[in-house]
Amino acid sequence: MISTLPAVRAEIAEALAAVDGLYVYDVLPTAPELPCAVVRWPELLTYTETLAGHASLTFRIGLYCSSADDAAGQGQLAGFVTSIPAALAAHTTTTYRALNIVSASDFRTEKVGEATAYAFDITTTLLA
Amino acid sequence: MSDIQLTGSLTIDSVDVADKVSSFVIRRTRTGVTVPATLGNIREVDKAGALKEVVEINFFSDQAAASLWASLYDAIDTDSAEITFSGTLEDGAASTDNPGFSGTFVVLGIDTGADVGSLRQQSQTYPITADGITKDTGS
Repeated sequence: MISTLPAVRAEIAEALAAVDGLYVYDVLPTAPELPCAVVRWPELLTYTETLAGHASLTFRIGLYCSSADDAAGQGQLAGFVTSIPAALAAHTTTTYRALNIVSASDFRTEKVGEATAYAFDITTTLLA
Repeated sequence: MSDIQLTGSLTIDSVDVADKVSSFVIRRTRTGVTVPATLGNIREVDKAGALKEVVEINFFSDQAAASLWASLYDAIDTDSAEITFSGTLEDGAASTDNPGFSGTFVVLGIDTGADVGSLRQQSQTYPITADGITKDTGS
């Protein structure tokens, strides 16, 4: 792996920070502010994909919006699901490359800190 | 030294492309020449015939002006379509236990593009020119 895992997660978080109104965390927070995106640990890390030593990584980015108001929370979540791919694609970096936004899945309600949130995951792959 | 292919080095057209290459194999084969059985020897025998050398490469391609894809795309337009390479299959300088390989191959094909949402990568097999492959043991 060329870049460190914390550096990759921080860089993805920086890309997500371009989305208006979204709190971003590159480590799992105990009491996050909502709405937020959390760059989780990679779901899969495959070592040595190139002669230079790049790894391929699959990340699930968790999106969380307050469920205090059903319509508002789900509407906000839908907005982020729509806008985040463009923010990730527009971000330029040398920390990773070949970022591909694969899918969004697993809509659910989840306890986040003291609050309950609507949650959705965006899956990306990249080389780093 | 490892039995597992891990990191190494590779330059093509004098550009370091190790970060773009996920597989690099030098394949050297001899054609089999069959000598039929004779009245004096019942055995049909295969002898080594012509030597053929190719490189098989799988690489990722961006569209940058200075990229492996661009080098190959330009090379195929030249009269000879030849391009040089050199590399080692393990990290470190060429040595008896980590030989370097170099030569010139002929770019017989290059693809452009891929399915939407997938990594742009391709596998190509290129024949080595008549000069063959040089094996450098660092001595």
